[in-house]
Amino acid sequence: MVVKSYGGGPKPFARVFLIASKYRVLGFLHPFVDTGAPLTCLSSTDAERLHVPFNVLSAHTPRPTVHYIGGLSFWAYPMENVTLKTSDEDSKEEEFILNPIYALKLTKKDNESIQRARLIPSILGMDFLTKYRFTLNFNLDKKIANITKP
Amino acid sequence: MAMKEEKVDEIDERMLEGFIIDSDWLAENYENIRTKHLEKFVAVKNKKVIAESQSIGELQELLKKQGVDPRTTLVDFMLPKDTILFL
Repeated sequence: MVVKSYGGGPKPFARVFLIASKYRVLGFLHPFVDTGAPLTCLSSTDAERLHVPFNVLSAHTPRPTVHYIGGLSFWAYPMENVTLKTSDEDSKEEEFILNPIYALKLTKKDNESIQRARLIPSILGMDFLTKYRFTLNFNLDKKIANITKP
Repeated sequence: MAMKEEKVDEIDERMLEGFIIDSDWLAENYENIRTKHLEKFVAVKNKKVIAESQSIGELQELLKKQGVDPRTTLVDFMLPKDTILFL
């Protein structure tokens, strides 16, 4: 993990490779590890960068739920069986599966919303930490973060 | 002349290691890079900012012209100065 000054202070970010084979989606992600977020989601800009096929997702989920993040509202399309690959401190590769991860799409396509959505990162939420029983250790003074199992 | 776009079907260890190195470099140099590329997306590869744009779509086009796959490149948005973000 890496600690980066973002949006008013240091925040922990993970580095993962995402694979959603069912949708032919893959690529690197730099999600904010957010213990205040219940769910893991792919930001609208990361979804665009990774070529998330919203036409396929909307066929499966014609009525997606709405997520509110950073004062914006997004349609949240579930993507099933998503693998996240990362490496630990010893550079050993680890693999995790989340079901689902939500791909976000702005509910409003006005210019102001598009500009503001650029600020919203992808989020690794409590569903990930809870499923794998991870604890987030975040030392603000030293700007060090990691996740450990009890 | 544009290079052929790299194909990405699976990850190998070197790719993940490279991404982590770029991520560390960006974190270490974040304020400096942010000042230079304020309110823009930047793409980082091999410890260098290789493209910037105000829109993610345009950034992807710039990367493709360089033969770089946006999916395997570290892309980050440089927040406006003094932005406080409540997520």
